[in-house]
Amino acid sequence: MNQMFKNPFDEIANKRLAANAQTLGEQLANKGMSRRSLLKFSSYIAAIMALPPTVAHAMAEKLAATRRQSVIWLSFQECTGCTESFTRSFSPTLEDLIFDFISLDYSETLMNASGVAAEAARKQAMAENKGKYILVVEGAIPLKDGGIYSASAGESNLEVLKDTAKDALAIIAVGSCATFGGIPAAFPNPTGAVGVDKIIKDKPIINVSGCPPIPEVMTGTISYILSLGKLPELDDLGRPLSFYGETIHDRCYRRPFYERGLFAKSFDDEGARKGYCLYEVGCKGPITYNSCATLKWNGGLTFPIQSGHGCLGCSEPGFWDKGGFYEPVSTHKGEVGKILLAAAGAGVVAGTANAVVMRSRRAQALKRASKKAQSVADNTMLPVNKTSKDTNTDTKGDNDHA
Amino acid sequence: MAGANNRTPFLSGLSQALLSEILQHLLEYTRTGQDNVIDLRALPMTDDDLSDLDRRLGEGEVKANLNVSGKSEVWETSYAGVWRLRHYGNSDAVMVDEIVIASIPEILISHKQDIELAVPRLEKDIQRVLNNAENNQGVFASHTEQGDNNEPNV
Amino acid sequence: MIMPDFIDFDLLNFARGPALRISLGIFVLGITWRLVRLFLMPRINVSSVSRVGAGSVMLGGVTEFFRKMRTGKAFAGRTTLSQINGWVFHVGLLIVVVGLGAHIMFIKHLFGVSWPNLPSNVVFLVAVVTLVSLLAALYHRMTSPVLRIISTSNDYFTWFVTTLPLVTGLLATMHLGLRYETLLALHILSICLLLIWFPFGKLMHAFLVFVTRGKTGMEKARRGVVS
Repeated sequence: MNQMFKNPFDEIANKRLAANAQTLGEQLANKGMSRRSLLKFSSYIAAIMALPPTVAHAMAEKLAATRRQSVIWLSFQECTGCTESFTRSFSPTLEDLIFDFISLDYSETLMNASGVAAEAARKQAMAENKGKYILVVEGAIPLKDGGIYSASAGESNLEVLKDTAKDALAIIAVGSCATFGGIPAAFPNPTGAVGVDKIIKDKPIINVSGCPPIPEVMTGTISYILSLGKLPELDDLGRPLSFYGETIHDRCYRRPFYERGLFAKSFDDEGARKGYCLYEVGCKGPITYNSCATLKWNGGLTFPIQSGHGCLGCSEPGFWDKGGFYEPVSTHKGEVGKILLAAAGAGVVAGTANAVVMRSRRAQALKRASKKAQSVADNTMLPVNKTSKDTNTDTKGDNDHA
Repeated sequence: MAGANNRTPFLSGLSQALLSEILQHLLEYTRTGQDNVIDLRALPMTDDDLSDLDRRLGEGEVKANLNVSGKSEVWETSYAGVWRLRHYGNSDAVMVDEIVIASIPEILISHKQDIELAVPRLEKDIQRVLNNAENNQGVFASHTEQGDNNEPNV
Repeated sequence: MIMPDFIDFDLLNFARGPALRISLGIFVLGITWRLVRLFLMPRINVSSVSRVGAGSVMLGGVTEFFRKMRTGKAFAGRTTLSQINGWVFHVGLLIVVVGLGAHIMFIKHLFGVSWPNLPSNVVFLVAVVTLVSLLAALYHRMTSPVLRIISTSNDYFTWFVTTLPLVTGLLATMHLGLRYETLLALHILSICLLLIWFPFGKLMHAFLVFVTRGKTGMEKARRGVVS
């Protein structure tokens, strides 16, 4: 099959090979872009990854000397929101540079080829860059029934993932679906959807979670790998610490209102209009790790809380199943009404039964005691002198133990 | 200092604290020649803090507008060796905002590689001028006829 | 990175979900069981005649609750401090529980009722004072010559179960020590422990104090001799 399509794409492949043989510095120079643009880009990446600004020089030098990085972008059980976010990376002049630094050899959404030709392109990129390409995965992978619930070109996503991951340098799972299973994995998870790291165990995996992730986070992570030649430091869920090290709550500008207990009670009420904390309308900021409060969205324009809606917690595992977007973090999850009713009913029944048992035991004990007292009295009672005036003592009350 | 709305500026005291930090970096530079950079976007500065800081630092003798994958601005403050550097993205969003303590911020310096690439280009352009003079085509012949692939990317 | 599969267990989800459900169930079951059993037991000593000039028995039962709040003159000096301390931590706990916004949300989600919240920093201050007061109460229990002898493990465990939510709540609100979601989960789990222990230990005095003082008051109201 490959033979049929090799000829028309030979020229493209050769061109790409030639292009990829040049260093980035040479390629950009050919386009008339000076080393200043690399330095500007590196300053930007260093800034958003909270690296010391003086590192920009070394990053720019390293980027100039690297070759274009082959990237294969696989789309599985997803909504394509992550690709949209990535291509919507703002300041096209600055962020577009990422597309100069990588050779996006396969992306179902963005590539021109389709069908068999597209699949051939993928296999070819894998062969040419064996052991050196970065695999980006978008979307969850269903496992149930052999993975049949998401398939493309006759192969299940599961098969394609295992096959493509084999010779990859590293894997970047973008979006909450590829990292933690995301929306497909929401209760009851009918397709058995899981994230990449539940399947691939022998390659370095970076989880860039979010629904979608912030564009700058995606490009920043890839740029970091390219320019510093290593993986960034990760948290215990495999996410880059420089983007996911703090919660939204830690950097939220409405924090002073939280500390003072000034909350919006409902949307668009007086407190909401004054910009009070959104804890009571369900903000999951305190338990969500992401950079929304610092990097923000749409080129640093705003983020959900600034626009008046609580954080959904979209970069955390199982964010769909945390009890509802409008329920505060401090509330209980799930149905308790029936349980409490049943418990109360059971308590009444048990209490009544217990009382009945206790009362009967008490009555029996009293009967035994009175019998014992009677027999003692019978054995020790003095003979009653019926003619004496003292026989009028009333003993009736002694046996009265109501 | 009242703004256009005559409201009192919301200062957190960071602008004054930064002045001390800049001084430390300046002292280190005079001793060791070590450059330093302060990333202003990493600090919880309010808009008023930022304008207060720039007001205190003032403007010096040098100002540069850059056109490198988008707009950038570099200017020396009234204190020699203390520069301000700002990279803009689309629709004038500030992407990078720094204070650079150095003899000159690196981005203003022409890179060795770029200079090396300018040599053959100038040689070619000079050759073209000579050729045009020979062919009597006038000094202002257009470059685009040659299909030059080293045109600057504007 | 190779991720262990057990990392999917979310402590906070567990605390807010199954843990709270079970604990609330045990709480309600235990309390109704004990109270129903208590009130179905036969009443004793009600067949004797009230003394001459005795007032309302019900009124006597109610006022006794308040009368027991004052100590007799004989004990005044020795018990004043521990009495005041008891008031401090009872009122403090009440203010913390019903004053903090997050707690009001919890109750609103359970029962649908809510009320205005206090400023969070005020509640924080009250919580710190309450904690000091509880520690003082423990110290008193451990050092007083009388309390030391008569205190049981029930007393100490009940103290622990009451103080733990206060401590975990303070840590959570200060974001001190562990990640916030873990601190919050531990706080909720400590409440679960309190709910489960409630029907079994000394905390039942929250319901039974009205019963015991009421009974004493009712008897005092009608028994005794005319002076």
